[in-house]
Amino acid sequence: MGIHNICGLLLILLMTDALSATAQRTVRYDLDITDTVVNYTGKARKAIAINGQLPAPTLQFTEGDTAEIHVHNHMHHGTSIHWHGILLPNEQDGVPYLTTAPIEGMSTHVYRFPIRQSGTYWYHSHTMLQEQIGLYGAFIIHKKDERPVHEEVMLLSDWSDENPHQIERSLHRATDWYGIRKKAAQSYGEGLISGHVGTKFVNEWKRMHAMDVSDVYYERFLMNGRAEQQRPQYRKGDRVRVRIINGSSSTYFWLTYSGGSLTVVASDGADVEPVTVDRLIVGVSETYDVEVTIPADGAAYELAATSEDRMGQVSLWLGDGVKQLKQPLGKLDYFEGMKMMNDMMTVGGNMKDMGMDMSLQQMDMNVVMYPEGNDPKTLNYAMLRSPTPTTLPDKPFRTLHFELTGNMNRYVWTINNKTVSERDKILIKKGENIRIVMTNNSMMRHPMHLHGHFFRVVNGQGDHAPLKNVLDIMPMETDTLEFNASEEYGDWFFHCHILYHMMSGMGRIFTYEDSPPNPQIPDPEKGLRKVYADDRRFYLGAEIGIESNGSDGDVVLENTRWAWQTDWHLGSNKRRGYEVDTRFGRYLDRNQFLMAFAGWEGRYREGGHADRNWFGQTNTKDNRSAFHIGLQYTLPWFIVADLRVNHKGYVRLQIGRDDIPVTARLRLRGMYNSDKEYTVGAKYILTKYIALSSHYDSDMGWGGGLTLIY
Amino acid sequence: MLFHIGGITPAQLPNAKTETVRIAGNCGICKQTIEAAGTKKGEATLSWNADTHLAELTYDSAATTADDVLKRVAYAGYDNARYLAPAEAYAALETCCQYERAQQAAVLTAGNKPATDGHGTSHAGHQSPAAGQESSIESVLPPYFKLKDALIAGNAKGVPATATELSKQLGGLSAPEAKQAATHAAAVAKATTLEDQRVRFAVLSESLYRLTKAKAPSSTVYYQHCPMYNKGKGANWLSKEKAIRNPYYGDQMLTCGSVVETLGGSDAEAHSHE
Repeated sequence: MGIHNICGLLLILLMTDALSATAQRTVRYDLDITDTVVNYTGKARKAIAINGQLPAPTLQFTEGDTAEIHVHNHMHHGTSIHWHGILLPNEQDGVPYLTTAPIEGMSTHVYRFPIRQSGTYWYHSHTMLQEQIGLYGAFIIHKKDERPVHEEVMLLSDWSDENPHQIERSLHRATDWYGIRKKAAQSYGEGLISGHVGTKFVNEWKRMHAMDVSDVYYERFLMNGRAEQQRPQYRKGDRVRVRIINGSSSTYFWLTYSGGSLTVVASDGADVEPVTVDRLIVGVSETYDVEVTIPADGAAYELAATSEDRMGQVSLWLGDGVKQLKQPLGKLDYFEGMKMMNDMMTVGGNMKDMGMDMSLQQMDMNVVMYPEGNDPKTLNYAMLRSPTPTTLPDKPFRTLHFELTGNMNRYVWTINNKTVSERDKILIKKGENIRIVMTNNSMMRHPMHLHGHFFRVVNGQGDHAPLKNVLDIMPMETDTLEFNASEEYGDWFFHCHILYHMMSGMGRIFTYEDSPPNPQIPDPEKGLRKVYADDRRFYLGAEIGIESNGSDGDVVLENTRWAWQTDWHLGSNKRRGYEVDTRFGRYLDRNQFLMAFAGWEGRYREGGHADRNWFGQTNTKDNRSAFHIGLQYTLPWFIVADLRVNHKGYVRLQIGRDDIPVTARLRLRGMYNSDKEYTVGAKYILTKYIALSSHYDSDMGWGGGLTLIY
Repeated sequence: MLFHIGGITPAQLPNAKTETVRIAGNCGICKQTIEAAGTKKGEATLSWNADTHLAELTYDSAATTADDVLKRVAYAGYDNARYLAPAEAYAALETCCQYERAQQAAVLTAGNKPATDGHGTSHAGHQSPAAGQESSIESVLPPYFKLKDALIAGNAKGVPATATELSKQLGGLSAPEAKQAATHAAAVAKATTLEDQRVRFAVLSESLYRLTKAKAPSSTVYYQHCPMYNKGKGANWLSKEKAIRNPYYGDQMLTCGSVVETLGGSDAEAHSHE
């Protein structure tokens, strides 16, 4: 009896013990999102703060926890939070209107999901451009049996004083204001001085604008919201694990360390076998865990992150004392890059790799622009090796071919020349293996990110191919990714993580067959229209001259495929005349060189006389109102040819070239047409929006004044 | 000290602030490079003294900071009070400009050499430079202090013997700083006038300072500064007493000067500047 009792008691004790060991620990965070004002450059700017700070606080978990995150949106507009790299049920993924209910203004949303992985991740808004103004933070998951180590989080980001919507609009207008600010305008004048004028000519012949590795000018680069930080607690011999997260909108960062080499131990949260390098580039949205050693006491050693365009850097100082600097990375030689691009680009607008079979960051063509050459040992994807086999279940593979495509000049970014909204979702079956063979036929690198899954990067490491959830693919590279459709259900986004590329539609949605209805998306069709609306938006642009001989101007409203263009020439009096032309058109070919349009033109001029045109037709200029149809084609060297016929059968051919960069700020333009009308003009760019200008028009004569650029 | 700073402030810069900063270097070429790197029109002027390794930095505190100026100097290759030069910038200096580096930076170059056949081994070399020589600094300091005391007393005749003794002791150390200091000590021994002895003593003190800093002696040593010496360019010396007894002016100005840095002493003090 007594023995029985004791045994029973023991049994109960053992059971409670086992229960508590498996019981999930729920870790709760409350995130209060508010509008805020920040001042990084001496100017107050709107931003978004989380719990009063920018970036958002670091969330810490241990594998096996259940995350319960209460997001309180105190703003008047909607938001969302995506848990980047986290494996979770689809409705927790945080893509508004697609997987998760948007967090409306003045409301609270609760995310709840079990943590079934470990490593370095992050979280950010997936709503419009909110990530650019502060809505991002680190998401760190510790291993269950992890011993405490010295560790730091280095969350990198980029800051612009300009409203991100203005940045986006300007990019679609192919502004080169950012190039002027970066002193990277690459004009003919600069080409002449450096002996590269021929290079510039060939570059424009192949219809490429100035060469750059990034498109936006950022006033500041930040690390944990600051320009630099010091951690004085470290001593000689200490090994520090730095969790590096690139939370920027569109900036790649080079990492270098003044205290020796860098040992990469994890990428995108997944462990890799340690590999020691002198430097590595961290793509937008990628994470790397890097170990560094403190070589001596009495100094703080610099872990520097330099923007790929070399416009700025941030520093984490490890150690105490005088600061040991790292040699900064030199300024880029843009004309060398331009020369390289000229060799790679065909006149037809395709990238050719000249049989080099480029892949996995192994041949960085940008090296031609680096003053430091290719000597430092640089990380590439072929060097990453998983410590454990990553082979997929023995299931059939389905192979998808993605060609990354884009039009730099109109800032249209696509996969297989289609945006997210122009293609159906890609159906996948639970359990099947998906292989994506991806080729980058665009001029920019793209960090492609898959939600809710790790993929293995086929990189010559066989069964030990590394796991990642972001893959940076450089121009002309071909890379292969493989993943198992191991989730239960739902829609999973695959997209370029450069914010402005994603918003222009560079992505696809994978959807599991037979997914149950998502309670967070009560009307999936309406939701999907909201998602698609992102890449269907129209952007307004204008250039309006106000000069002594009248006003020349044009206004355009364009999206991925459609364009509405209006231009006018208004003389200062009736004798000089008034002309207005408006047309609606659609870009037809992949490179968007060709547009078909229909429109109306009207003109009035006192005392005008009839002229014969090139085609032997006569035409009065004094009073005309006509509907027309026509084609616009961008010829090599950006000469735009416009051929049209109006409803009376009158034909006009016009060729023109705008914005010839003589120097960084001085631009020429010219136009000639079959009615024997012509214009030549020049402008000197003063600010992003204002230029001094002058032009001569065959009808209106000389004039000078201001041109407003929007 | 006060009158000294007031005396050299150039009037051109608004919000002008002046600091005396330590910048490593050797020669006239160094002077040019350092001053060109630090001086920026309308923002800062820098004037460096090759003997004392001290620079007068005057800057517009509304436009820039001493930190910014010293960062530029370090990027040009010169270690200073706030920043150590990047290894590449130091290596790019003329051979005559390659001053002896602070131990924190020297450790990197020492560590890099064996790593040519592979990465990841660079940590192995780190212990070697300082190891094995710890006790010898103790045999160098007493003759130096004796030499210094002779100068305080204005006893020119007592100088050569102690300087020779010091040079001999320094010659027994393997550290590169010691070799340099030994040459400077020998130069003091050769000087004939008190004035000349003091000039050379200032140079000797610099290299001995670096050696002492690297070796961290068991008893505390004070690094002291006289702002007036050498027409206001200043000079330094080492002392085991905290109280100032100026070897450059002797009786004339015995207590002029200040403690710049405390070296060695109890083990925890090695990294106490911040």
